[in-house]
Amino acid sequence: MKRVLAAFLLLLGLTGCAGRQASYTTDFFAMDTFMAVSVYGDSEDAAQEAAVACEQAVNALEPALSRTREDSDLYRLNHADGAVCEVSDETYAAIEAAVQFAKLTGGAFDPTMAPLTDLWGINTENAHVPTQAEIDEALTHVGYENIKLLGNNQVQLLNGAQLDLGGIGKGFATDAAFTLLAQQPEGAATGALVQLGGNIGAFGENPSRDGGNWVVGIADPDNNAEFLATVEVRDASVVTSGDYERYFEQDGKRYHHIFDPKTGYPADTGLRSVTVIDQNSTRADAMTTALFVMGLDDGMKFCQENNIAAVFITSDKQIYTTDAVASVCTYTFLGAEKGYTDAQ
Amino acid sequence: MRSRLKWGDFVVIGAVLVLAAALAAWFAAGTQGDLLYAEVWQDNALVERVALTDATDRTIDLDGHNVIVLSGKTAHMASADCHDQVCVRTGTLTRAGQVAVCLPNRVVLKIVGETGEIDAIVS
Amino acid sequence: MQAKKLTLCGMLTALAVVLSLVERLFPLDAVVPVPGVKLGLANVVTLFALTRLSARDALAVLLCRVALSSLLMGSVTAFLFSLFGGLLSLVAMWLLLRAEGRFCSLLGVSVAGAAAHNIGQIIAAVIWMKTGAVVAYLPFLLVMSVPLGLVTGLTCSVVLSHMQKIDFNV
Repeated sequence: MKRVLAAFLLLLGLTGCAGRQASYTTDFFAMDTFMAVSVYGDSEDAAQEAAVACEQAVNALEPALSRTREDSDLYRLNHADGAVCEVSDETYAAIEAAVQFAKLTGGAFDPTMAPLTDLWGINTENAHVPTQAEIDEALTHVGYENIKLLGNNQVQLLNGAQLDLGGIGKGFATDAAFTLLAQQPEGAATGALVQLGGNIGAFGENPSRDGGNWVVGIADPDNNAEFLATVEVRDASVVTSGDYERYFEQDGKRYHHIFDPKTGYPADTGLRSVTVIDQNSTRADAMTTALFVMGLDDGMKFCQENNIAAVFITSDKQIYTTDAVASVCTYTFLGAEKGYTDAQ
Repeated sequence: MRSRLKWGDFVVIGAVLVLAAALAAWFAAGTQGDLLYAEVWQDNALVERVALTDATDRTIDLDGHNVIVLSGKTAHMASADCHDQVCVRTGTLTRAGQVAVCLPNRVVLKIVGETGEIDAIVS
Repeated sequence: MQAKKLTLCGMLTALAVVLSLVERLFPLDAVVPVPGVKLGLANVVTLFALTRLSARDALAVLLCRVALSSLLMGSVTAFLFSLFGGLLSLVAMWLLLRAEGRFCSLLGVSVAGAAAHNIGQIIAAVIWMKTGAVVAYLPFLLVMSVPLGLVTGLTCSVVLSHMQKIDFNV
């Protein structure tokens, strides 16, 4: 009997090698938003290590992308009165990306909107509608052409421009997390869900679903906890910009936080939200803002020309998807009972 | 043959089937297996974790800063003393994966449970 | 005598491992989404060992079968499920065998064993997956265990009566 038991224990040790899917989730606040990173892997320790590494990477990016922290590169640059500044590698890469997407979208996405957001006081206690004179003055400083990238991490801001990378910050951080997850040892992070505020990153395989895809709901603009459609994705990022997240009301009118760089007013294009599905989260982040500013017709045209997968939700309760959507994800319309129509 | 059926065999088979039926009925009447929990987090620390059933009726008051109401299988942020009110406007949470976040007070209300229809909501 | 018994134990273990392999042909986890649940065909070996040998020998055969079969094809879950299932099944059949002949036949013993096997598997699943939700699959598994127990009980009974005919003794 003893021998049987010994042999049994030995065999037990041998079978111990085979694993199962473990997971670890870390929640944290960074970049003025709530973030959650869930990593799935062969062991809980490895998953935890990967998740915590992602959290640290995002936290480490914060000083590189923030314009409010006084120790940040952007704060220094914005307060340099037009002098040439040297910034960190990350900051330089993020500014390069921002300028690239500003050019691509003809300035519909613009990383120099800071004077306007500050003027309107969005997300502060004293949000208010400024005078036209104030808006006109602020607009003279707006324009991505004012950003001079001089190479070797040297940047110059002309014409009193103020840089704000908030429009791509979370996307940039999502991409950084993806790079980190891909570098994990074999099996340590087989799948991950990276939720950085409104940016969702679906990495690798979802162990809780057949087929391994991640199902992301596109929020109902009138009730954020509900969704009007779902997209099934893998190794892709899903980003939404909507008029409902940050806004204030004055004299019965609603003013949201996505500004049109041409008018200096919140973009009024009949859209409630734009969602972009893209492998590159930084691009997706910039595109949602740009497409929201462009409006439905110009936005759809831009997406067809540039092969962008986007979902538009309009204020007259129509949902439009671009041709590229079908090629990057499985899209399911679910908004019928909430009074929405699938415009396809 | 030791397989000639005796009355006790029927007792055994009956007992197994009755147990199966009782368990099935219990699950059908109860939560159908998909238990949901509401979690309240403050400053990255778990404050409360409450199982949501049809009978749930609770109000969690975080020192007056945030008031969370759990009612039936739903949860919502009833009030918050922050200026943006994003969490209150998020509405009622009913499914696993839904989250209401109060950034200024660093309070998170979320519903967790079995894998639901969706993994995340983008907003 | 001792050598004969040992040989029989070895053969039973081998047979049980083969049955565990055959079990894989029935993908029960396609119906019950708990990866690792098994029909429990190898219980027939446990039942046979309990009737012809001793509880101790049956336990030895069971432990060797569980370890060997999970080593051959298994994951930790499969190992844990068959261990819990096998042990609970053994205990249930051992208890009921004392009343066999008067109260019930081998069929009743076998059905009880099959049911206990499934209860054991689900207990293991609850422990492993840390959720009580998997108990929801137990009713289905319990119903399944009735026909399965009848088949294994009948098999065992046929084998035993045949062995009596050829006067095979251990």
